[in-house]
Amino acid sequence: MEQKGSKSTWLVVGHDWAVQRLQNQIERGRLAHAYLFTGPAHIGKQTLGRALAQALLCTSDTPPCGVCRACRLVQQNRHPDLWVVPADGGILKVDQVRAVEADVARRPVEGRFKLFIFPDMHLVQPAAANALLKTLEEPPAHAIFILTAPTAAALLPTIVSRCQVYRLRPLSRQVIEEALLQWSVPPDRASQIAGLADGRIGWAWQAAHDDTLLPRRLQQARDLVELIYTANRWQRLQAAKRLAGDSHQASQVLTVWASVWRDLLLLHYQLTDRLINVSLLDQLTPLAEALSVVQLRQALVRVHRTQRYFEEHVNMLLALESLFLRLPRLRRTTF
Amino acid sequence: MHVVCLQENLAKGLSLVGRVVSSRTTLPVLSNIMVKAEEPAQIRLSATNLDITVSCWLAAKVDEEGATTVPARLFSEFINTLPAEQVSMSLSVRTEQLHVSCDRADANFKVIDASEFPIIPEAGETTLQLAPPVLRQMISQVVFASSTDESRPNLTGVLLNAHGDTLKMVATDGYRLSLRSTTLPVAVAEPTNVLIPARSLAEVGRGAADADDERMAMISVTPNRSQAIFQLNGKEADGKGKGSFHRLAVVSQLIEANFPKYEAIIPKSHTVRIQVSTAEFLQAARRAYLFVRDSNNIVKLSITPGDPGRLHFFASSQELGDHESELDVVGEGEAMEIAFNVRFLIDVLSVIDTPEVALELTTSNRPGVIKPVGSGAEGFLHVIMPMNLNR
Amino acid sequence: MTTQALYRKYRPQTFEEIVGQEHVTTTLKHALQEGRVAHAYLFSGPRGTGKTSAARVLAKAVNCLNEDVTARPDNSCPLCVAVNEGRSLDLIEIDAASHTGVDNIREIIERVNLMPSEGRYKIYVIDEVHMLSTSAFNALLKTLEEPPAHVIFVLATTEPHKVLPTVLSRCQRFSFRRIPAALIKEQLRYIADQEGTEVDDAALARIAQSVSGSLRDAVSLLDQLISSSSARLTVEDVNTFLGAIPTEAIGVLAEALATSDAKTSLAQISRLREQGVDMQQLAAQLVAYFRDLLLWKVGGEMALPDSDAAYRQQLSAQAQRLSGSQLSRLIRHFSTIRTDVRGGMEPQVAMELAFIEATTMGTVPVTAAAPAVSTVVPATKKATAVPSTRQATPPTTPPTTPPPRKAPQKSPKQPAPTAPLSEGDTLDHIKSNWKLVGHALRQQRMYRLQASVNSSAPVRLDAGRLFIDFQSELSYNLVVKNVHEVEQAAEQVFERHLKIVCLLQGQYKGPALVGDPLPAQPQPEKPGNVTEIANDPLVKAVLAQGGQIVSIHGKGEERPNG
Repeated sequence: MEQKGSKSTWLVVGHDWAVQRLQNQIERGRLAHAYLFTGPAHIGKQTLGRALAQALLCTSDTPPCGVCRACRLVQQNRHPDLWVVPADGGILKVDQVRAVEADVARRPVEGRFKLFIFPDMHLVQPAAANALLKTLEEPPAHAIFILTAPTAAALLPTIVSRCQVYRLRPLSRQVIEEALLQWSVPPDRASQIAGLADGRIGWAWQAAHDDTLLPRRLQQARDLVELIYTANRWQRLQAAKRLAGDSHQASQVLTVWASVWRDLLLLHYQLTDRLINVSLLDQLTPLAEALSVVQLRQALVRVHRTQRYFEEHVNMLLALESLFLRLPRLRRTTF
Repeated sequence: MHVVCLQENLAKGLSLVGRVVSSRTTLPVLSNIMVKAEEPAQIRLSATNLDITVSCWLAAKVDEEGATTVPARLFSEFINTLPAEQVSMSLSVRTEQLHVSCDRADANFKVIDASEFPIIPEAGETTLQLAPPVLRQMISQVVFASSTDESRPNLTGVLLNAHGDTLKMVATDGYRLSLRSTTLPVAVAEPTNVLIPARSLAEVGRGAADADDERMAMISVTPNRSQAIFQLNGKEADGKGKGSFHRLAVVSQLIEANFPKYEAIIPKSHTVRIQVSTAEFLQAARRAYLFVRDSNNIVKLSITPGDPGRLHFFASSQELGDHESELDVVGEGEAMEIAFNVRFLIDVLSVIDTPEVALELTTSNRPGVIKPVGSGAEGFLHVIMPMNLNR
Repeated sequence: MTTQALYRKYRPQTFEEIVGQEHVTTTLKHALQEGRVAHAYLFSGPRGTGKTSAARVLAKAVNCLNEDVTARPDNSCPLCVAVNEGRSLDLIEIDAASHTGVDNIREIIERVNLMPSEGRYKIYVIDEVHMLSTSAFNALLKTLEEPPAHVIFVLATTEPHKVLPTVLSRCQRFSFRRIPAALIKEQLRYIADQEGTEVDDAALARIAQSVSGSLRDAVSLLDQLISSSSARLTVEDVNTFLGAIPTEAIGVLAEALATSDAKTSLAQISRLREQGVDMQQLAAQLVAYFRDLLLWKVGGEMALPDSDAAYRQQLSAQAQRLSGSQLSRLIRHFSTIRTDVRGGMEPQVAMELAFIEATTMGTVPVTAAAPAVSTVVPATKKATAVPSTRQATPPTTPPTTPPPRKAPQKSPKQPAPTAPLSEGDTLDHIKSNWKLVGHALRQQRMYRLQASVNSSAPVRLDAGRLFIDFQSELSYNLVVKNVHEVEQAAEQVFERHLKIVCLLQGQYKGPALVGDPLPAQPQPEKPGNVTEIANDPLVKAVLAQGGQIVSIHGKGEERPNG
């Protein structure tokens, strides 16, 4: 969003305090060698990292301008002085860190800085963390490291202590809604997306730019409700089989289901103001009443466990079948 | 962009710049070569791996200025298959393709916009001049002594130091050191001290092999001390159809690290000095190497100074057997024994072009110095750590 | 643009400047002065306690050109300066963590016989040496056996137990200890004064406390704090920086646990998340808070002399609400969140689940926190027998009907019968309903697991843990592998979360248990010991045929008929 008082354009939604602090540091020339941005998924940690890279590599008079060639290349992760080092197959490997190590001492190609963004720092191999530690110990003045992770607790304390830590918070519904309106999303849709986003601007952006995402998500949540009322084993197995055909969709579905089960738990305790799947309130309420806490809790744990199985490349069909069979069953009441 | 040039020239230029194409997959433009048509009549070809950027300018008929980037491998291989005719290249902005035609062959290449190509400076300040043969030799005499261990970045570079009319290049990996100095035709106004990755310098050396030896190479450093730039001139077309180019520039990123205080490592005096035929010394070292290359690389030298004195080689391996040989030398001082890593001896003797070298020693556990004999002001010396004999 | 980091600026340059490791530094210093330099050292100890710094000081000392041995390292001779400027050729630091391979070590070994370039010694510092591969270790071993006279190896490690004993035996060992918070604070004060920065004492104390003995981390933290704040540094600044959660917020959660109020705790977690609280930090602070409560219960004010008045008041108010055993269970419970999050669960969800579990697992009395019986339940109850926790008073008698027989059904299957466990229930209740757990597993088509569980016997119920004993190793192994499923089935039956601990023939074989130690032998209630009996050759034979020990009778006792 536009920063008041200057023409700099940080392409970041929310997190105003963080942007302000970074902008101050740039203006006062008191940059840290390493930054750590933490917070839940999809709230804009990487985006903030990229915006900081833009601020440091921008060639306009009011960095970051967001439009010059440098800003554009940063936006596409294609700037020669920007290294983005994501986890490779779920792990940030020692070879990746060593490749960086070799490059850190080289002077930047175009600008005054060289930026190294590690977006999955929590997935670092121990050996890679150690190698990075050495690099973080005495980096040359032109090198700036930006690490992001869901939580600082997932990292070596020694790495955390070398970083300036920014704990990013989930964005409020209003901030997301405003952003959506700015992206020309119709008001009713913006409001619906903002509610489902649960503070995750990244997801809201996707939902705003993909018309099918929202209805698909609603349908996925409804599918779960339907499944709970489906007692027939064979039908449940068929449903599992259908889903197992598309691994990408399956993991999306599980994410949605996790949010539904969580909503059911919240509903169970009458915490209605914190629900995510608000539009399904009518369908969810009887479920929340009919199912016990133990069942709800178990279901949520099972969904999570299945998600983990996916990551561990367990046979997807088996994992889904087992999940589907064990989800609670209810008979639909007729009054 | 629309431009026409000779296939031989284009192929030559591509072979010069194509070596540095990168495999860093996150930046797709690095696997492309930039083709830029410049007024009034030349094409610039550039490729970079961000450490080294090589650009080459060649003669062309420019109908319309412009620039784009094409996939390096496909483009180079394609051009190589064309007959030695005129090649015409034109860029269609609409289809984002470069159309190439030659004789009766046509091709369209997918391009990446030239604005994605890293902006590489073409010239810096503190320019110094050097004859290409000298540059080549300097590079070959120092680069091998640098380290390949990236965790010690300061040792992976070659120190380039220009002061007054003296230019020095120094490299060390902590076990040996090469120092080469030369007198500059024109003194530099300001002293320069930069650390250049050894790999980049080796590339400069290769580029210099194709340069016109009669015209001076220019070396400069960018104002922000990020890059060193080496500019070389191409040979005039020799009429035999091998291809020619106007100019070649190799731009290298500099290393930001503290180079060791190398002067302290160079022995100030010696107690033994022998002079020996370079070729014979190298031959004997290679022979000894056969026996120890799979084990510890140790060769023991026994030196008996005198006129003639003797230099005795001994190499042995538990698995393979042993070997002795002897050379005549001229020398002064006490007799002594010393052991060296024979690879190090081969490395340094291979880059000395004088008929005789001198070996200067103090004790068996202090560094030895090898120098060419009779190279005049063109100073080269190589310091080499001995191996421990009494363990 | 960026300035030199404080931990580099204040890195110890002499043995005297190394804080809190006098037992190492004085020994090293004396050895050097007497000319007794070893050729291989092993420095072990936690991160940031001075191992690498000590290695660098040692490297300078052995090569220092100062005539006066006692003044080495003088930090002014060219060789000392070269080390300090990171340009020494004779000090070679290798990070074994990222250079684990045998090739890296071979390269060192090949060059180890080469004389130093500048000084008397070449010093190889191999950091995190335990990460070397076995072949790399073995390659290194030969060199460590007979190192050349001009070489010193300093092997540094945070995990000495992972270093091969053959390597250990060739090294002179020094163990670095965690630096006491008081010493760290002193050092931070020195640095703050040198830097001319105003910092509250309490702020330094808080930093020192938070780094678990790592001076390097403490100095880094101070550095970050100084550079990101403009005014005098206070303890609040430090707390904010560390993301510490106010104790009042923790108190609210503890109160919710004391009253089994899941609703309040969920709402509070939600609020904290909106404030950007790190859930793992919350878990850590909860554990610390329960620990303080426990200490308070035992020792009162004496136990926590450093705490402030408000905090003490809060503790004293809450200490009575939670029993000692509840607290120790909560500590265990919230310590496991980290593992859940590592397993990929969203931190907030892991925390919410932990609270739901804690408020329903019987850590605290089961209260009627849940709403009254819903309208759906009565309508469906007869047909589907939805397991219900809603009933405020669970049935106290086990169901008398036997579990329905198997036979795959097309119609919706009856959910497993349950036998909810209430607070006063004992092991007997579990025993008499143990088969229901097997049945629940059968419903999920885990037949083998069912058989194994059926062959086990609950022997002890203690602090939310249920010990079950197996005679067959096969069954034992199967259940150990799938203990989570069994726990879930048990939870379905008893409507309480029970941590299941498996015993094999009365012996505990698993990893060390957290918390109160396990009695070596859970005593069976009848005379005679299950293990003993099971080892009887005759009984063994019967067991091997699939028999079970149903009950044990003394020799004099009359055997039941049949």
